[in-house]
Amino acid sequence: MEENQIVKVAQQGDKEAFSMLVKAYQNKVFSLAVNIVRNRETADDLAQEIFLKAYLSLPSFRFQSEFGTWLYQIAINHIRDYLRKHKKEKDNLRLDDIAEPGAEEKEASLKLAENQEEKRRKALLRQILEEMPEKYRLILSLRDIEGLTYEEMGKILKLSPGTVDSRLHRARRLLRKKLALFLSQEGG
Amino acid sequence: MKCRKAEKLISRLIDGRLDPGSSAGLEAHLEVCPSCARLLADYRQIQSLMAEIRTEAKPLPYFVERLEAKLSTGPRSSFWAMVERWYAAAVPVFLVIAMVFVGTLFLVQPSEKQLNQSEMLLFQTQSPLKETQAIFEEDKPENRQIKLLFAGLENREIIRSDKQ
Repeated sequence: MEENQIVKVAQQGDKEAFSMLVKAYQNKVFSLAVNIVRNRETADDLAQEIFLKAYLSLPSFRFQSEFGTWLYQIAINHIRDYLRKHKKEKDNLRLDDIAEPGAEEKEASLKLAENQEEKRRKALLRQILEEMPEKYRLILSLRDIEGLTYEEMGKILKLSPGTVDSRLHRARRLLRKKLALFLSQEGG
Repeated sequence: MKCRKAEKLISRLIDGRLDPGSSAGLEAHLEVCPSCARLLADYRQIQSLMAEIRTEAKPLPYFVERLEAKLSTGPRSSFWAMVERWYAAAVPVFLVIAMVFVGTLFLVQPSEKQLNQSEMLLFQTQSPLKETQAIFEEDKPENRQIKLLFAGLENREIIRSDKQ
């Protein structure tokens, strides 16, 4: 059965059909949430809430976009609400607080095993992303982590292609600025 | 081409969205601008790092079963959700109104009502019916008429004084 047919059956209240959609999208929705909130339990709760919202809103789905895009739209809105509500609870550590490594640290870091360096690099990037304004964090996650197209991002975030383009550009410029020290180290 | 414009085009370039015309212009600029060439290298590195932090993860166990359990409890309609919200707010409001009402009953004393003649007679345990009966038992019709007239005038006076 095609996805649209399953959606139509689910719209009539068939919970089995809806479960089929959940099985098809659970990993994508969970991955999206976990890549943004960086916590498995929170991401799991969010994913459950996203599917509950989707179930309740299913009768209003008019097939004007693909089901996956519509679901991502619900997911992004829900995650955005979560981020806004929990803004104050966020770790107060800001990028500016990450001290520039001293000579000794630089020397020590050269001796670190490659996997440790990779872990540190990923942790630093995650930290920086968390500290970025929500709109930049979301668009970077959708494009560079989730690999969505400009058109998909435009539909999900309800932005024109021009706004997607300029927001992504500003987000990258800010991220580069935040990562400047790290990038220069990496580049040698 | 100015660096500011080149920066925008570089962002499109790494996403594979640069049209051939702009691409040629950007390439020419990158050959002469080490700063923008560095920017392109940085953006590519950032994109690669972002792809590295992607977590392909599965949700916690029994994700679908847990969701199905929530769905089977039957999500309530928005109407009942609204009633529940209002109900929570209505209880304290009702208590306040009830307290004000009871307080009013205790604090505001009713004004002393002037008793009419019949009530006075009842209060004095003299039945007003006896007086009425006495009028109708009068033998002479003239006397009966006069007594009825006076009783009527008395009642009017009582009603007037009540209105004032």
